[in-house]
Amino acid sequence: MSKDMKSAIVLICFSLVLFFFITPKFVDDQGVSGVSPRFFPNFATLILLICSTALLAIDILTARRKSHEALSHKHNDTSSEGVVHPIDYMPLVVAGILLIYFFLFEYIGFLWTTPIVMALLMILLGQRNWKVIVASCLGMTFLFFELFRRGLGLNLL
Amino acid sequence: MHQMIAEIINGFSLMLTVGNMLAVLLGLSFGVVFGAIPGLSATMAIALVMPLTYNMDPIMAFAAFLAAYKAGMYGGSISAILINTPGVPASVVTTFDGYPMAQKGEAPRALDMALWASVLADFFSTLCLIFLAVAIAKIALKFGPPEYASLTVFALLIVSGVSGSSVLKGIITASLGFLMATVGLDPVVATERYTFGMPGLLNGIGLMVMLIGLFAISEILIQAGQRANIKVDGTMARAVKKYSQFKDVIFCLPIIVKSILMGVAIGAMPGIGGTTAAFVSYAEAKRASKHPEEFGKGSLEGVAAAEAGNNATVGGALIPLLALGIPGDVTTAVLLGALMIHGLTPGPTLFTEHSHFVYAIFAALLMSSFLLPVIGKIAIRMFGYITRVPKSVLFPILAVLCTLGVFGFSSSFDDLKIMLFFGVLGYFVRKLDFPLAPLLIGFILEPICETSIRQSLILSDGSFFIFVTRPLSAFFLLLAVAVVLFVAYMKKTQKSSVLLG
Repeated sequence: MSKDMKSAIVLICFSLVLFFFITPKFVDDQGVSGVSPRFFPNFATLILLICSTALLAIDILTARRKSHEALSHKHNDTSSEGVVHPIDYMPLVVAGILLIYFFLFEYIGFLWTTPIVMALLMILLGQRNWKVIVASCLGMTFLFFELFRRGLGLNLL
Repeated sequence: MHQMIAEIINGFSLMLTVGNMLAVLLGLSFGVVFGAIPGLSATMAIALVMPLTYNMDPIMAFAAFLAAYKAGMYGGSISAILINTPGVPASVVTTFDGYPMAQKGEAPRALDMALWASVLADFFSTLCLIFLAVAIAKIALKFGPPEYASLTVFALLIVSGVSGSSVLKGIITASLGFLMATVGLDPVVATERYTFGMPGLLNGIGLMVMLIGLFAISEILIQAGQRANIKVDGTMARAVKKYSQFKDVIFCLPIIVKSILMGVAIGAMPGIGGTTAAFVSYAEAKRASKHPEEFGKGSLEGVAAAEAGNNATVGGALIPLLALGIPGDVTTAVLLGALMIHGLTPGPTLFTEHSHFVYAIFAALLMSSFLLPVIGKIAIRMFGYITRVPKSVLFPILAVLCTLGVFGFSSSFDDLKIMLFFGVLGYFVRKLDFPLAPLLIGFILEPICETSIRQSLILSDGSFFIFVTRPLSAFFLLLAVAVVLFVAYMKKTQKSSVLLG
């Protein structure tokens, strides 16, 4: 399944759920001059649905045409379309660490959590020099702490 | 004319304070550094600095933002010439001749030419901005809600059409941006839309939260997937042959002037931007050159054309932003957000209600053109040090800076989670080859579009014919449809030719 096909299916499902379930429940339907508060959300959802369906249709047609061409030319190469690429989990791991960081920041405070999270991210991104990690994590944490505490009057403890 | 000159002099008197000058210098430095490091951009620089300017005087804040915008565009040429990696997408054309020049030991000559072409382009495009924006704003004052509605639809469709590889994908991301902007209270009847019972969403999604998430956090996630380090070869920055900067500039002046004119015109059109301007200027310079065979092998004219073309779009892109309140690209969309955060409404009324601000930022733009050579020269020397900071150190620091930027702006922990949501959304949007610019522009233009359409419908007692019976409104709509169909046709033709080999 190609990238476009996957995205189109997700977007079609999203727009259908939005149109039939979320919008009726979370947006009122009373307005002036024939335009209700639901008009623009529904309009954008419909555009999303139409374009996603068109994207899916174009992708299916293109894939079909390519497979016909491949057959007619007796190509053995199935092309990269059918190749399953390994999923890179690293961005999702980094996003997860950031989410945990935001919770810890809320309950423990900036000063205690930031150097640890920063060091963890540096290691994940490939930094192996522990002197660089320690110096930059501690240095930047204190620099930002002072800058934002004094500059913007933020309570970061 | 006399009044305009008096206003510009007044603008300079407002700008000439130590604080404002320092803001310009800091903006230029920040912009060059962010522009020069591949993966970072002036847009990100502005988004990150924005929270720090909330309590600042708007003139000082915008002096820094606009200086960063200009310098970011120039900064991209440094890495393009030295390491064959464009710091910003618009500098990709500079690599064609800049890097071959560096390989021949002429890196300083290429860097100087890029700097002077950028400075000249900045200066003349700012002059175009000053004269054209004022004239367009005077015309735009006569626009009513139907004209504004059609203009926003026009801008949205154009940006969706020309961004990325597919018109459909552009419209999809614009619709997503449009949907995100409907979160909060309805602008007319003030009922809740998609707030899910969360009081934090009553005022809608914060523009700053979205910006930092979409651009900075998504970039950190992308870099996490790549884990690449880029380092410059310091030996390349040393000159082998002697040369005269003045003679080089005089030799390339006709190409620079032509590229500036093309760059300003392209920049003023929504969604087209610096990359196209650089390509068009480069192609024209090659066509008109006496030595077209040197292009791609280290031609000084090639570097001059590419840099003058992309830098001239900066002044051009600011014309619709300031005169009509319509952003043409991602950076001007961020600047529009910054104007709104500082309580200023971009568009023709800005020229009548805050004329002192407009002329002060014109002065700031001119001033940053004069100061860019100073910062540029320092940046060329410093670049070797800047790029030695590994990305594995740089991006975790940026992650903390993003967190503090968003938290410092609203002191809300919910906003941090919303920022992360937009970061992940931006990551997937970019990974799946959808353009990011229409999402942001859809988000920014939705309130203007919705309010104008609803006001128009109140005026017409609910009849949609008001948009086609008013000549200017009908003209914008027709133009939008024509341009989108043309772009779709062109993209299809290009794809077919690629498929056919």
